[in-house]
Amino acid sequence: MYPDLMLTVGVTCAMVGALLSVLAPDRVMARRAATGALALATLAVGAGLLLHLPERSTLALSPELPWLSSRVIAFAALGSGVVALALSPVLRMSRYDFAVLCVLVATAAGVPFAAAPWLVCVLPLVGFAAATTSLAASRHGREAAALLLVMPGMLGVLAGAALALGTASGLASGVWLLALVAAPPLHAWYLRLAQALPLNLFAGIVILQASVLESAVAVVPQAAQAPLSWMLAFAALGNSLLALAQREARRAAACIVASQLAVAGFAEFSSGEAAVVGGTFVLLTVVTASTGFVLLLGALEARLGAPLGLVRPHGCYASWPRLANAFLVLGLISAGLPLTLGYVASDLVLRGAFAGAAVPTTLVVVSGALNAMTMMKMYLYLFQGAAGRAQPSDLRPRELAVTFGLMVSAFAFAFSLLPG
Amino acid sequence: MLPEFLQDVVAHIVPLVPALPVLAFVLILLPRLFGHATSERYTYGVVSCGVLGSSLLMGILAAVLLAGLGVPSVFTAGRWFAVGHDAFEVSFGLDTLGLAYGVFSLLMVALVAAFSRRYLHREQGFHRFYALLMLFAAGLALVSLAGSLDMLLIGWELVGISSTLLIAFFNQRPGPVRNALRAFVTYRACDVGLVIAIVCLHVNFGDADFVRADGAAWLGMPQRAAGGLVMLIGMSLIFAAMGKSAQVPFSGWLPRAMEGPTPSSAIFYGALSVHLGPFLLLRCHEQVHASPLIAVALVVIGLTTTAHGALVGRVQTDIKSMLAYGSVTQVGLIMAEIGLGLHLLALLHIIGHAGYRTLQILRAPSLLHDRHHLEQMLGHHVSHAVDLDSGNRWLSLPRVYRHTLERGGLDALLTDRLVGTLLDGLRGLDAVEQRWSGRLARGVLAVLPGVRGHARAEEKAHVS
Repeated sequence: MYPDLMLTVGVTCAMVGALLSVLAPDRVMARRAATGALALATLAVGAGLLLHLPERSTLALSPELPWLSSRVIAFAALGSGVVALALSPVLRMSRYDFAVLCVLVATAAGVPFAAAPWLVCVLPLVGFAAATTSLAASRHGREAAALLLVMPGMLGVLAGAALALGTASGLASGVWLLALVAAPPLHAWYLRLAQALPLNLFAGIVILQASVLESAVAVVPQAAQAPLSWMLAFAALGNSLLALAQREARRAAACIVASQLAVAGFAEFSSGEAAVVGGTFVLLTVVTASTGFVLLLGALEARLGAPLGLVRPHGCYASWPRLANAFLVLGLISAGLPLTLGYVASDLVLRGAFAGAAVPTTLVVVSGALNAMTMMKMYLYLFQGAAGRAQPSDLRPRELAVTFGLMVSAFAFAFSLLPG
Repeated sequence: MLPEFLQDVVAHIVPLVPALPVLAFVLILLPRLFGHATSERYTYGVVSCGVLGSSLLMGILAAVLLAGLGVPSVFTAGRWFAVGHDAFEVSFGLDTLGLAYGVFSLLMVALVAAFSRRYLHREQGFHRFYALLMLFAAGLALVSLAGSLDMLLIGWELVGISSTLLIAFFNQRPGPVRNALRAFVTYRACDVGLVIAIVCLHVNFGDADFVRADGAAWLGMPQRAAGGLVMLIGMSLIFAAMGKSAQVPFSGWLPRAMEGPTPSSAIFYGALSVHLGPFLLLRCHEQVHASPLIAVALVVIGLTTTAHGALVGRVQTDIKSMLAYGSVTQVGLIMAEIGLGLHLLALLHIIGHAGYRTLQILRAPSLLHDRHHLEQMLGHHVSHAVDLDSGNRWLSLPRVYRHTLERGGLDALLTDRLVGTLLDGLRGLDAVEQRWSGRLARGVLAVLPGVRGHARAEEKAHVS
């Protein structure tokens, strides 16, 4: 009863938000309508979560309680959707973009409650199809849309068909999952998407990916999980290395997120209980902190009016110190700064997975270190350096409130919603 | 063990030592996050309260130690999180090593905080400097009082992050940005060693806690591993210490780190941060001496670094680089002492060197002024020519001289050969990816007329 109600409220509100934003007279109203509807959905789901589980100690995320982790991820996805909408710069997004974001979040909230494994593979196609409408305006966008539909989209349909028919399901679902987390060499769609989409919509795609990954254990047959876990560890390292070599901030951010998603996948398929719980916490880190820094990168681009490179320092600290500090804090949480959610996540993953798979876990450790390096490189190159003409409009009150809330929630997750 | 009533008191005091600087950090930054400009007086007041309070508490702990009331001891303040058998216990340890380093650290932080009030007066990043100094103090307190390697890692990381951000303090110039990134990359690369050692200990023995062995003066980790695991843990710890303490081949970041404000250079790279590597190895001395190979490796690394630092330091043309290589030389010697089992000597060397080097670096900006004073007093010029006949004989050999001028070629080896080649390769792969994915995308667009048609319609709508 409860999961059904939760799903209905969350997804309905998100879809209503999508509809309202399309019907709104202008972009500001569209953003307000979509944010309001999604906030309502998040509140309803959050209240349901608290009422259903009055004992905080029962929030122990473990394989014995998989339904609970799905709910937490669905709740976090909705909450992150609100943040993504609230931080959307209206000049860079149309009314349709707000609607697409709502659809992406609705899909993300719905996937953990899919009734059958094949549905987990097919449902994301709804979100991907919606995203293609935002990509059609430019040549690069069209190419990204084509790759999006072919790589995670069609491969998902194939995996769903294989699961429904019961033939070669291990191979099909494994390849689909590798494409979904943008494991090299199947990562082309992801980097192009990060370049072509407004970053708020890209954050929506990230939320959807995290949500699908949480349910991926049910999709991949037991026999295929161990080799897939190895491949995901290599994917995490590969994406971290690629992130370090990027010259564009958007591509670097996409590589970091892809690497973190691969770590989450690796943990989900590990044998250790702590690693599985750690995987859920990695996903929580991704949907709160990583999408947060992606959104702040979007806010910075909206202020500067162009995609940013990582070849020379841009000197934005002088104009926007609060934006710089928020970016740094969220980036460091995402990279596993001690005393934060990211640290808890990586600690659990490493402790849980090392006994069963020492070599892949070592790759994950190296991947985490490389991601932190890229994060620091992004901060230093985007915000430090000689300042140009001082510009006004540091984080506005709305943005500040949302960013501060995001940071507080990341710390709150790290200090309250913990097992044991 | 401590008497029971004292145990309760100490257990309540210990967590406050790192907590007070963290509180000061939050109190400095929070008003500014919401756009309230605070005065220098406010910031300095908060810092004074944080550092003095923390020092006072550390002093009480030292008094307990001096009274001989049963330390070393380990206190568990609680549990952060746990899954199955894997738990993160918040534990603190009290012993001579930690308290000596902790008391000295807080004393140095207090001195540098007092010095910087005038040195950085009206500097644009005044508040930022003090906030980061407090983060550093919290990290040092955590490292000193850590009751397990997990707790030590938290302090270790906080020190690394505050160090990086202080190197990039003068954010208008591109130089500090590059140097801060270089330092951070070295830190993070070598931190992998510490993380792997911790994970190995957890997986094989269930914890990474420091305990008091029978008859031992300091807390440590009794040797429980055997065979290859001993080597893995020992070498991982040495690798972590090498990065933090700028040992060969990672010594190139230290002179570059001097781009930060002088007070932070003094306390980080003269006094405390650079000595964290030896501190880690002193804390885990059982692991270092578990195998003769590990100890020999440590001695070799230490002595090689000493020779490198001594030679390269002599040809530096600015005082801060010269002092940085002086630090490298001394820390190399300390490493060798630890490898030889001279632990007490190493601790004394750390404290003596840190105090002396801090004074030198703090006085470095006034060097010309001091020199003029000296010359006025002497009544003649003081020669500064390098005397190649005494002590610098090796430098008269052209090959050695060139080698030292190039800093041993280590920077070129790491930056150009290793990292540069890797990045070039990755960028090549990236270009290949862009080419084939572009072809694939165009192929798909050609096959799917629906997408193409829809795209054209959208484009028209967008243009209109």
